[in-house]
Amino acid sequence: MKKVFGILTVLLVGLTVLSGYFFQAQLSPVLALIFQTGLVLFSAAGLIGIGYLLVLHIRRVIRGEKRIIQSVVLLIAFLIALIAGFVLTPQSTLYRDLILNVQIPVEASLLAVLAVTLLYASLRLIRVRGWTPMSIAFLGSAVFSLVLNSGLIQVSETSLGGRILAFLERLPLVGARGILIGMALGGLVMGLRYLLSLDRPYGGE
Amino acid sequence: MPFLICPDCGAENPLTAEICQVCGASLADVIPMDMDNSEADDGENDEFTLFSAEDKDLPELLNDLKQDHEPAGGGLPEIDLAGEGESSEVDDTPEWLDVIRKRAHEELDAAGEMTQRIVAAQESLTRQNEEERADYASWIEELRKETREEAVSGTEGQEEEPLEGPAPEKAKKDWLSRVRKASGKLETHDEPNAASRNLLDWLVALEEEQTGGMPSGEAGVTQPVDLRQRAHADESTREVRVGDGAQQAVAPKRLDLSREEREQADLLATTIADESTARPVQPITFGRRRWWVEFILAFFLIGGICFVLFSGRLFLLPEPPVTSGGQAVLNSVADLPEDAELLLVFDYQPAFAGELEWVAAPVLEALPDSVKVSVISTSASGPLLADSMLERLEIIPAIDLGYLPAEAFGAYGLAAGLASTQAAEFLPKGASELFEGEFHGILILSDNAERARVWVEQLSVLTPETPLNLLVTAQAGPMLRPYVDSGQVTGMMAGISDAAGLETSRTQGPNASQRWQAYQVGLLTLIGVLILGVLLNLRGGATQGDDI
Repeated sequence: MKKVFGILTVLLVGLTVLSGYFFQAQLSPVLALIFQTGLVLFSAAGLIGIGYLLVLHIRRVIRGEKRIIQSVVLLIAFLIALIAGFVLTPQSTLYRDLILNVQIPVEASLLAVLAVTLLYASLRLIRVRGWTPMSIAFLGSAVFSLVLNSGLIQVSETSLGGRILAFLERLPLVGARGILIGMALGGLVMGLRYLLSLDRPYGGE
Repeated sequence: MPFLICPDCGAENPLTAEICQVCGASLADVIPMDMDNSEADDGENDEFTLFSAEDKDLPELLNDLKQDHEPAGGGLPEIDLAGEGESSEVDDTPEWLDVIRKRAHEELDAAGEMTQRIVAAQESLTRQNEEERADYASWIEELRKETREEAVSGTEGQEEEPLEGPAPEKAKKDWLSRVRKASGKLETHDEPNAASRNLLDWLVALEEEQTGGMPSGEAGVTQPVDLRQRAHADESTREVRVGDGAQQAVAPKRLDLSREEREQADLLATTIADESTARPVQPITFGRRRWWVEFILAFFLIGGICFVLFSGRLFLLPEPPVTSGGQAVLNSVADLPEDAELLLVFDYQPAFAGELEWVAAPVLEALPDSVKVSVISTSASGPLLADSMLERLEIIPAIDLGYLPAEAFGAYGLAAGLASTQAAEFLPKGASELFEGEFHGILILSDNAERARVWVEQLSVLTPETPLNLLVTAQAGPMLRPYVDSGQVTGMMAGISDAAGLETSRTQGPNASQRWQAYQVGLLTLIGVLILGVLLNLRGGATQGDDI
């Protein structure tokens, strides 16, 4: 019964939203209800996730488990951001600087670490796999892409070199177009699978 | 008058003919026959004059048939091997037919291999599904009809030939082969109707297997069975118990596996069994870290970038070119009419704030003062990032539409809201105002190709007249380039390189160019490290515990 209820709910909501593309005026009140309910559920899921994370770290602090310092820092940062948001409101310049001046360097540093990590991973690939056609192709394409992105090679667009360069720069676009087509087809198929109840992530299947 | 009978089609040909006038078969070895003589002798010396010398080996059954009666109406009645309907027809049927039926009951192989095969095929077909059964039954019925016609014609052609009494066993085989030859569809392997024969052989083989005989070979492994060879190896007529097929127990079907499938199944079973096998844990040992390598790498990477950032431009490095997409964005913004409304969509994470602020700076600085800027954010940190950027660029937004939860709201929210203000009533208050205004241009600042794609696909269809421009990171640029090429997007600036080129063309401050050159130095350092690392680690395999 529970499974049937889930399937019916998904089917009704999906078909109603899909119909809303064609009958917007008629289905506007129903769509409003669906979207507001969806937003509330989405927000509630976020709150549940935050609550679970807090409980996990609070439990770790109480039990004195490993990495207790990280948990303490996380809890303090969370409380500061929460209290500052309630007291100062997000429109406050102080609150904005408080958040962004921490968040931007931290996230940007993570990206920098990611770049160096990828570099190390490339070298390890050669060490682990040796000189295989795949590793050679990977290394060659990586170096070639980096050189192209560095802007060191600049030729006139009308010259032969410029045309060759433009051709080489278009190669990633070919892959990008293929990925876009694949994403579109994949989205279409997944939508159909949900509507036809072939995939039921809500039901544990 | 003598004539030649074609061995293939049975047509009569004149003595002078070398090939059959009907089918074109060779008549070189055909012995002439004289119909008049045969008919003249009929009744006087039946035993020895009705058949020619060549047909002295006709089976006893056929001889009896010819000597006793002539078939009424020229047709051969259907042989009822099961004896059904015999009582109702006993008064009407001629005596020769009774002889046939009697012999069929006494000698089960007298009906001939062809008939046995047909009956066996019928028994086999009863085990098939209704659809296949209908097809095969119709085919067999057609085959039977054709066989009967051929047999009758063959019998008629042999009526004039003399009989020579009982034929030996070899003569019976010849007779059977002649009947097969007359049937056309039951020929041997060197004849053209191999496909029909294959199907019939298959049916017979199926019948044999169901009666207990399994093909020889390795147990459990399907091996190719040449049904044709098997059928011809057993050329003699076999006994088939008519009517017993339905009572036989249907043997359970075996799982047929090819050798490759069996090997794969064995491999899977071995893998599953091996999963739970205890293995010695190999301790992970960390090799000596080459700290000096890391130090040199960090020195060149950080030092080079800092040197460029704090010392000014390096004229050794080329300046970035002005891209057509960047120039299109700049022209689109500069051409906005007075009191135009421009929508800024902030859709990026704080990690990319440093890049996108430099990308957006040349464009937003070129905005006319009279343009009214509306701001909406579709990322959680968007309102803070928008406030920070606009304050730095000294742009005061006319309308702040706040935060639109695009990830939860999806593309449909944009499409429905933009297409109809009535449908936008269910939007959040700030976002609903988005769709009430008419914008003269839209600028999307995004670090994510997927989210930017949603905006582009919805806006380019619903408001195609509104210029749509993208200010994105270098990471998202390649994925969004097709939309620029297709014309769905007016222009696009991707990464600091485009911003630096645009800045150079406008002869403004060196900020973006400096960062671009720092980026170049960082890239060159990475390229050098990559190449050096590969050259210094040319050993083929890796040893556990080694570090780079």
